[in-house]
Amino acid sequence: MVRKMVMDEERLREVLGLSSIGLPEEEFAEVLDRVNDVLRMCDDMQELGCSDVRPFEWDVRKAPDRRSDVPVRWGKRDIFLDQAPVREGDFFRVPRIIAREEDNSCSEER
Amino acid sequence: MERQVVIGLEIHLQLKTKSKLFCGCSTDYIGAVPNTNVCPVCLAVPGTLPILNDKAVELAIKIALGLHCDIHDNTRFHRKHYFYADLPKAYQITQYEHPIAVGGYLDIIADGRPKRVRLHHLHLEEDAGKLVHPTSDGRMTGAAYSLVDYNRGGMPLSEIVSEPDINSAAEAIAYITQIRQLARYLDVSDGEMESGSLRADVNVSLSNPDGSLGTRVEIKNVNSLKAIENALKYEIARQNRVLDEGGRLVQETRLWDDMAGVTRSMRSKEGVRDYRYYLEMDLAPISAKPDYVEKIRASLPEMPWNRRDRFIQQYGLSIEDSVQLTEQRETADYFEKCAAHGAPALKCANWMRMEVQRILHENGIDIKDFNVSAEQLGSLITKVEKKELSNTQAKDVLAAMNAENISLDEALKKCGACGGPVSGHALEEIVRKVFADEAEAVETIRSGKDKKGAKVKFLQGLVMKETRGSADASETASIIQSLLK
Amino acid sequence: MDFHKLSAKEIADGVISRKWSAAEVLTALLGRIKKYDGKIKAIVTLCEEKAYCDARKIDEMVSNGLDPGPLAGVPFLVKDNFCTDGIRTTCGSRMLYDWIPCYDATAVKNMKNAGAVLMGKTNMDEFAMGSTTESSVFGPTLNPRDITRVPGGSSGGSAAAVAAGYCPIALGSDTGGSVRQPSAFCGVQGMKPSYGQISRYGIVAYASSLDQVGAITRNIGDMALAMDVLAKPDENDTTCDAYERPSFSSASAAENLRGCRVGILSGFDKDSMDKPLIEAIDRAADFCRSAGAEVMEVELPVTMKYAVACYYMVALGDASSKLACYDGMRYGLHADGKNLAEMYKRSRNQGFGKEVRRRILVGTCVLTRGYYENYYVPATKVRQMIADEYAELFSRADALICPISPALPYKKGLVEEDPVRIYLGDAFSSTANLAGLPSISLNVGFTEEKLPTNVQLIGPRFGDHGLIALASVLEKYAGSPDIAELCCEGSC
Repeated sequence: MVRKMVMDEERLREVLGLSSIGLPEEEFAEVLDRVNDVLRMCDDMQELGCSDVRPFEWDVRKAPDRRSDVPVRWGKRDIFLDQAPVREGDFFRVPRIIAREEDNSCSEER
Repeated sequence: MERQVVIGLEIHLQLKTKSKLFCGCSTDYIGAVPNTNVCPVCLAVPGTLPILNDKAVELAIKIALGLHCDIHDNTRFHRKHYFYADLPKAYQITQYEHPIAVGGYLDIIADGRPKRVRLHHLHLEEDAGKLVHPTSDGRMTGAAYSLVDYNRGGMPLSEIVSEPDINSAAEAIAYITQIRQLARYLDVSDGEMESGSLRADVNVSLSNPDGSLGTRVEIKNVNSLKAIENALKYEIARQNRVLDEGGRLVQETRLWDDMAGVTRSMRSKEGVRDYRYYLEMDLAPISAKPDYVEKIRASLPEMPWNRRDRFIQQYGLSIEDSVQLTEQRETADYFEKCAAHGAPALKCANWMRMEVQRILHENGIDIKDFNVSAEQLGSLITKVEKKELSNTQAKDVLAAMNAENISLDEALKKCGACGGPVSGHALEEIVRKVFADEAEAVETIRSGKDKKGAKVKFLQGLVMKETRGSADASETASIIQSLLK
Repeated sequence: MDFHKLSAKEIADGVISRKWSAAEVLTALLGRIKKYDGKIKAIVTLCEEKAYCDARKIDEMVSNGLDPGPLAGVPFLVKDNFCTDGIRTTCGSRMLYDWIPCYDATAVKNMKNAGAVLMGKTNMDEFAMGSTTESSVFGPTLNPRDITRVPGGSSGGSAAAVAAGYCPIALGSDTGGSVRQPSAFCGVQGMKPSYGQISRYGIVAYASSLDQVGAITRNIGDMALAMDVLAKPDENDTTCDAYERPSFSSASAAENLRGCRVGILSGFDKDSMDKPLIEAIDRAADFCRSAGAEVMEVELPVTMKYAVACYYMVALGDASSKLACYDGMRYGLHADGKNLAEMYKRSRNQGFGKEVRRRILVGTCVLTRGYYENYYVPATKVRQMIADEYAELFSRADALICPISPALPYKKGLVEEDPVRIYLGDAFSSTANLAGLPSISLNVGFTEEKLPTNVQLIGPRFGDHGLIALASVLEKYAGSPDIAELCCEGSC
């Protein structure tokens, strides 16, 4: 089942929000061209009709053991916090959060 | 218009591991200084990679088995992308297409009726950090800035998603309570809503009269059983009201405002958020081979509902007694040890329900902090059965054993009860003493004015009080009668 | 003593046998860097003090009769996306312009534990996104073979450093050719091992399922030595395979290719390639025959047709994901905003260069609803088909020889516009990453204009040992490349 899609401006605006990146209007066309070039290249891929093929999985020689449940303390927390761009005491500080829609996996006051 | 209430619950259980899901940081974050249980991995420092905690997998499988799920081998983690201050990688590692456990069910009893709630699946995921807002009520609205603490970020969670089989607030509460009990029985999670180791998101809709499913609303920020109950009541009423007025409901997420007692719509965009789920290639498939799973299954303790039933069958307990005694695994263990020590089961149950419970409650402690061992309690009860000790004496002894952390023998000596019940000459002495103290009452009886025998009873009562209940009632009565003459 | 002309093995042997000290070697190579790098610009950060400290420790160990390891006193450089404890790590980006990690990448740790001495960090395309090392915030690196040309990318700095004789071993990362192509452009040997061979812990990620650490050297013997030091299981990286590796150094003792079946790739447009590179393939095939191998022509129709599309989907999708953590909150460039969303946007816009922003956008598009099901998911299936096609090939052949690039090193500032050549370049370099196969970029000579001509050797998954053996034998015929002729003025 081949479904060729084209990226349009409306969708690009959505993507800008999703990636937290800004793009001046003048550059929209260039980016859309680039995206659609890549998509066009991939349209051919759909022709392969590979729906029965399983998705890629690594061929592993020997899987490492899982990590055992032993707590370890990181000794460089202070150095790290000192380097933080905006710090308030033991916390990282961020400016006003207005859009709650970013928060989704659990309650706002979780 | 009677519409069917349809509820589905998503429960997040914090798994009781010592370290986080993908790094070695301690999970002991409650009360810890902010940003101390952190490391490059859970801070999403460039170049770091997640490493799966073996215990978390074991605990997730454990509770999944308790919930009668099928465990799948080689399941994968996925990334769920969104930007938010408490999510350092800007994606959460969770499971999406192939969770580690599917299907399953939980039998509950709500409003006295048994019900089976089917489960959709159970999966593993990591928790996010915590935000602190410098407002007077600690809420985000109106905060000029926020502070972020990543101690909780990366904690292991198992999310249990039910089918929409629940049809009332009571059933929802029963479901959550049963899951909590199971989690504690299996020692998989503390399951406490107050401290956040159990969190619930509620989905509720009202079926249309033709039976088709209505519009689903998700309710978040319900942080206690009471809140869930109130939120459901409010939301069901709200949805009914909207539909009755001919309005349309919107599929959305609403936040429960506990103070105002209402749900509020989150300012959300139309449609569902695009999380761009895709395979987490930094982590290998989760190995859960049949023999590994069977080993875990073999290590499972008796399920709380099975134990409940067995207590009724094996010990002849009432349903209420059995429910109370099996509520906590430690209590049930204690009871069985006590009964195994020779004391009659029903008496043990009684003692535990009444006296032990009272002492625990008064002292604000748990059975695991109770200073009296099950065996010692058993011995005490046996003494009462053999009439070596009266009930009242035994209660005192028990209280002393806990309060002073002493053995049964030591407590018996201390309470002066090792001599057994008061009788014979000693009892006669006490009766004489009471007679001397209550000369007026004695006079009344001797002059024949105590027609109904109230004064006699009064004197008897005093004697019993003096002997701290250890005197035999009939012997007391006969001594009183003989001395009255 | 011309220390810069010695191999890593020779340096280490000399340090251990006390012919010279680690400090001496370090001084000589640091001197070389200071003399020429003003022109070449391969180095971003030099950590002289720490290096001398490490060198002295090695010398002390030797004088106490202790064995510092197989790379005793060997100075090395790493690409600036390798986290180095206490040493700035920029990824060639404004975003991490003055970021100092507080941990060492496992690869760096392993090198140090083997006695090697870290001299500094090399230039790269910003966040490894590029193939010319021109997109670095520090400006371009020049090709020591011809300073009017680019050194390739994204590990251009490391490749240039080895070609210029700054050190015998430099490390890079390879996601879609980023070690092998600059090795080809600079005329040195570069290897991308099988995926899972070397720990990725501490390598700033581009694409989780494609990235792999690679060593760049002037000869295969040093390459094998580096592999012995680097290829180990690591508890910090569960994608790093836990199997017991053979000794790779033993592979460089291979004498001939008798019994070996070598496939030469055909079925692509040879007219689009620069002629010397076709001749290089022919030369390599002849060497194989001379060494006793059975040589045959092979084709990879599915791979050559679909690898590029597949690669873009996988690489860009993953890149958009792995670069999402740069939000100005915990590290990196921070730009204020009146609210959280604005802070994110401004930090990312100011921190990331244009090419990186483009790739993040394309990658994000590819993962959004609709596009994910219709483009990304088929790509993961095509990836399996490519891996299967290679596996089938390696049931009939022991190795594949093909180009690594259709073009000789580009002139600086030139943007390749021929779509076929762009396509071929991506196709040649990315398939080994997609299928997780080991691949070596081997120098087999220079043109009359002294431009390097390399060929690519690809082996079966975890067949790194056999591939190193093949490269070793071929190097006996081709000779290992000399250090580039440099002059301070840069007019060579």
